[in-house]
Amino acid sequence: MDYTSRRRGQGGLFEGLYRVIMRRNSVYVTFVIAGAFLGERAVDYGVHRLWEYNNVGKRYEDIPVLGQRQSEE
Amino acid sequence: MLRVAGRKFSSLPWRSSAALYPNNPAAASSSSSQSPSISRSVPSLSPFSFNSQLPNLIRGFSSDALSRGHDVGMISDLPATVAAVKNPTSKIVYDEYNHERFPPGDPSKRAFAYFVLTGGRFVYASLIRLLVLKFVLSMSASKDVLALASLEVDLSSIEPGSTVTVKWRGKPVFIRRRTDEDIKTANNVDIASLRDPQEDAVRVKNPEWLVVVGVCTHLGCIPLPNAGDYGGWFCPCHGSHYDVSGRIRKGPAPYNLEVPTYSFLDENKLLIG
Repeated sequence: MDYTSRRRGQGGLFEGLYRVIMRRNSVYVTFVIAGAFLGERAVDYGVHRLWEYNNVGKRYEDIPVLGQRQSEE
Repeated sequence: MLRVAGRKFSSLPWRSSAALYPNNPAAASSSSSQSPSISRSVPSLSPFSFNSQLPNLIRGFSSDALSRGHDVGMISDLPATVAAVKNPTSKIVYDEYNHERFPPGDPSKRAFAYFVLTGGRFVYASLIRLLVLKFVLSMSASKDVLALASLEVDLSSIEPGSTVTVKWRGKPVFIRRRTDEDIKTANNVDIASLRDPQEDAVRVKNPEWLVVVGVCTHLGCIPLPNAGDYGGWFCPCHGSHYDVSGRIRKGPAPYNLEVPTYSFLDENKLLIG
């Protein structure tokens, strides 16, 4: 990635995105807020999945139907 | 980085021997791109200089003087910093020992650097949102205030004959939608024979809906619904039987199940408390 963006000063993924997003501060701030929102969702999802994977079978939902003498309707 | 490391190892002996020739200005002030070409012209390499540079190599310090002090001559005994200030020159030398420079005229990695900073700003934005929420919501009602609150229950999803348990002020409340049979059974009881005589009509506002607090009046266990000999609740702790109206029939409990304050907001909404 270093060499490609070094040779193609006008091309490159970062360069293109730079020209789109970082031209105006308002657009940039919007991008940061959107990125923060999506990033937080992604991190939450990832950590949740990791937690579940690490604690397989220990959740309340994993218990087979709780046996009762007479079930609640 | 690896390129620099490779060049370090290969060029060090030549650099140190270049420092031994102060009359060679090009070598002393050379940029890294020139040093390989100069180094090849130097005939011999002295093993001692390499060993003396080895500690610096390991520690990661620059082994070469950064300024043109060898050119200027350290005769006047000025510190190198003062000498550099007093003799400004356009031939600036950057220390490339640890980090490479882009060659002059190279389009920079500005976009990449800015996007790295943007990644950091994602995290900061998330942090600010969290802090704002924490501080603003800390001013909302706390749990003890909510504990004394009322509860609205939607009754539309309860089938006739079924019981629903809701949590109100930390206690379970049984809401039972009684069928006509249940109501008739409740009314056909001889009041005088009850331990805690209460008419069913007194205990309910609308006979179809029985709302009682699900705490056994004996020692506070939670009775089980649809259990017991009287079609109501059965407390498993000490065997108290409650009937369809929540009245005690058999067992050690002294009083009927408590009826909380409640009212019907709409046709299908119940406000407890």
